[in-house]
Amino acid sequence: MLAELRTQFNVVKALAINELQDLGKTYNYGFAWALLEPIMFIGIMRAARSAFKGLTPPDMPPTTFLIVGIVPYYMYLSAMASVYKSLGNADKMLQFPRVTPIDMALAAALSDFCIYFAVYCFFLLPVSIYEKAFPPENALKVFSMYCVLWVLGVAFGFVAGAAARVFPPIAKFIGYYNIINRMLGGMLFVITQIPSIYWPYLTWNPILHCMEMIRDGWFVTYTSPVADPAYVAEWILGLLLLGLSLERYQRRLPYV
Amino acid sequence: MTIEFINVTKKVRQGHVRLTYENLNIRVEPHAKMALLGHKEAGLESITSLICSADAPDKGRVLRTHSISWPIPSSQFLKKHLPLATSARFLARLYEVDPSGYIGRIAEMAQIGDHMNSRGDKCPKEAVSRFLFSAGLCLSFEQYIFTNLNAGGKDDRARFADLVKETAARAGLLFIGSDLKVAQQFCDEAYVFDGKSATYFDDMDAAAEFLGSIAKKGDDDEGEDFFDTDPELESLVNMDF
Repeated sequence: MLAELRTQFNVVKALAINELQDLGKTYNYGFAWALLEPIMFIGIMRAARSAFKGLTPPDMPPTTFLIVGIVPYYMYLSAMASVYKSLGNADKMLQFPRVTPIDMALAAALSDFCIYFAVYCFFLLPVSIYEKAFPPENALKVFSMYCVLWVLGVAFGFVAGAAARVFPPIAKFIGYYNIINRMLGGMLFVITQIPSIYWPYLTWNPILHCMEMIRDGWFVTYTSPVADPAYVAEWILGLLLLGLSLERYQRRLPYV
Repeated sequence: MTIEFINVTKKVRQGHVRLTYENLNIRVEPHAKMALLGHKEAGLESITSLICSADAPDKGRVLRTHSISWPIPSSQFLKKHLPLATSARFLARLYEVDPSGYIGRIAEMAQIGDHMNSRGDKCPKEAVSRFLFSAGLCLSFEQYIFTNLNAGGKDDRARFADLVKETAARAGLLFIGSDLKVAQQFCDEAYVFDGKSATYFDDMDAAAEFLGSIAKKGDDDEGEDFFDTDPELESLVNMDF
């Protein structure tokens, strides 16, 4: 059992390194896009917040506030999309008998984890030092929540990717979900900025809980009134169970 | 220690190839020198995918109780923008072998010397072909799958044929393709795929004859269909100028 697990770990590691090396093939926009997309978004949001001061929480430095939320959220989206694509399409690497679609999905998501973690450190450390928001109150909590968001992205990717094999138009719905989540997922706000009567409607979303815990972990000045790790754990367990079951069921279905 | 198809049904949809194999029962014994033969439109790619677990059957089961290689000389793992050694290192990680020893063995077998550190797209095609072949042969499997047994240039073929025979002496060999001469050289039993079913032969000459008869039948059918589907064309062909 342990030997098999070690083999699978080595397979995922080899595939993840392979994925990262593939980025170099399209270097012009491979790594560059990973940097540019968050930079553009952070820049636009930073400009908007300078124009409308009320959008920024008063006790958190604005650029650090944005980076702490935006990069993990992009990582979540990217991990979800990678798993979705890996399960939805036949990959050439499956010709290797010891490689399974789950290995491919995990490796693709792992490479996203590494890229966005590098981007996170690259932006967050200098900016937070400049804005005097360094060191984080609880670095372990921030890193744990970053990992939890990744697991959540992978779990949701399993559900969506497996469902897409049976019902390809689901891609449209995922697009809508992502748009809604960008606005309501806590990437750009903390719950204390929203009137408390709306909290019950927003806190159903596990992404919001993760974002709250990440900001709670970074800023000394913020303590989330709603963050619930157990609620996030329930979502992860449920989604992973559903996603892996669907993946197993749809193995016999032809690729569309 | 076998590869076994038990009542396998598989719809093959590859470009214009559209056929269905029903109730396929195939058994490849350990150390067998087996050929899976068929014409280009027999959907052998799908059969290869089933053997390698890259795809699952619509019905039935595919059992594999020993280690098999990928379809050699597949270039799917080759990174053209990186040195050949990087691709070899990927295989070493995947199959948990010592990378430096493995790369050394490939370089020696493929006789590619300095090309090992050249980008894949800058290497001569023959060197890449020898690399792809050697990358598979330098790893240990209980069954080697080949889709082509012509490695490198014409000068290399005899040497690689000897290497394949040497490998086949200690492990099984499964050739999947349409090259009858190669199959007759290396295999002593075969399944011939005709687009609906697979027929077993323990005599390669009989397998060759059957494959030839399928080709002839296919050509005849194709001729009939060609005119049957277009009466206007038929009348033009029969026109007396």
